[in-house]
Amino acid sequence: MSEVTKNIVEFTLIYNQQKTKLYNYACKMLSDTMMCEDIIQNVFEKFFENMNSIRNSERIDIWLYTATRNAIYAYYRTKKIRVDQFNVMDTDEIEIDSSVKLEEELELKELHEMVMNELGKLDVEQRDVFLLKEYGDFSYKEISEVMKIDENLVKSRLYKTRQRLIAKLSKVILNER
Amino acid sequence: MNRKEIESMIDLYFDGELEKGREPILFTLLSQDVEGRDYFKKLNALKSGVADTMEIFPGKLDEKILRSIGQLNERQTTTFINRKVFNAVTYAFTAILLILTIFFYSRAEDYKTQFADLTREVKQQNEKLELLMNALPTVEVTGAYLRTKQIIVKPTM
Repeated sequence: MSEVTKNIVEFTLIYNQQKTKLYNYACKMLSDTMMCEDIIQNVFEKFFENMNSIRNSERIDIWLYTATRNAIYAYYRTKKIRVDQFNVMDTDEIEIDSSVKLEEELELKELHEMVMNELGKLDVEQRDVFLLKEYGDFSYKEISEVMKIDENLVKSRLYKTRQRLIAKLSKVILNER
Repeated sequence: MNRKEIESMIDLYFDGELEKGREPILFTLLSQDVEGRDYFKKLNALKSGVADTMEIFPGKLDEKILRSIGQLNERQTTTFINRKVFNAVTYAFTAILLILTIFFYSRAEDYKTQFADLTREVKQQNEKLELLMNALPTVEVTGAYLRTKQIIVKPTM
């Protein structure tokens, strides 16, 4: 098998394995389908072009998510969306917006729609850590590698984000049960 | 164990980070703790709720990416072929240069030998000439400042 064919086969395998999760991660981070598609395409193209060097130096899935994440944050910068990396809710206080009437929402949306909605309301960094865990299926250590933050901070952010989501969705969750 | 610690253990369990040995401890704790069980159920529901939000990868994007990868691959193959041709040309040119260098070097060596022979011949002839000159009788030259300003050379043969 020639090197070119080998590269194509390997790319296809990785692409099929990662595309859905990566796409969902990017889309949930951006909430802009067009931009998300562009980013995903660029990331996979870049990956194909540099496959040989990536294959030998690091884990491919971590590379893919890091590249996607960098592209997303670059987009945020161009759009001047403020991402305050050190001011994310890492304290014990979790603010819950009680103005939303859950009963009304229940009538209109299903649980997954509400999850989507709540995800959109999260801070970028909180959403990032949560999506990397849920869609990327990474361990705490891997998330800390992708985000370049401490492992304990990953754990803590994830816990706070879940607490927040559970608090927001608890009535729906209980109802579903 | 306080509430936060139990919830943290539940989180670890769902994230696949709880050590196997601690799982029975967690379940024992849950069997005795209603609030813990409630959190467990909520987290489970949240997990499945998030899993439901997973969208299918769009077919159009799939097509677009694979087409662009195909084009990239073609471009890379062409570059590879071009690189091969370039390498072959470079090798040929180097070989020609090497042959020319050897040829000119041998020619230069010939010229060097010829030049050395000529120099030796010239030296020998020079020595012969010197010998001839030395073989001639000595000449006496006497000068006298006369009114006529003449210099008389008288050979003593």
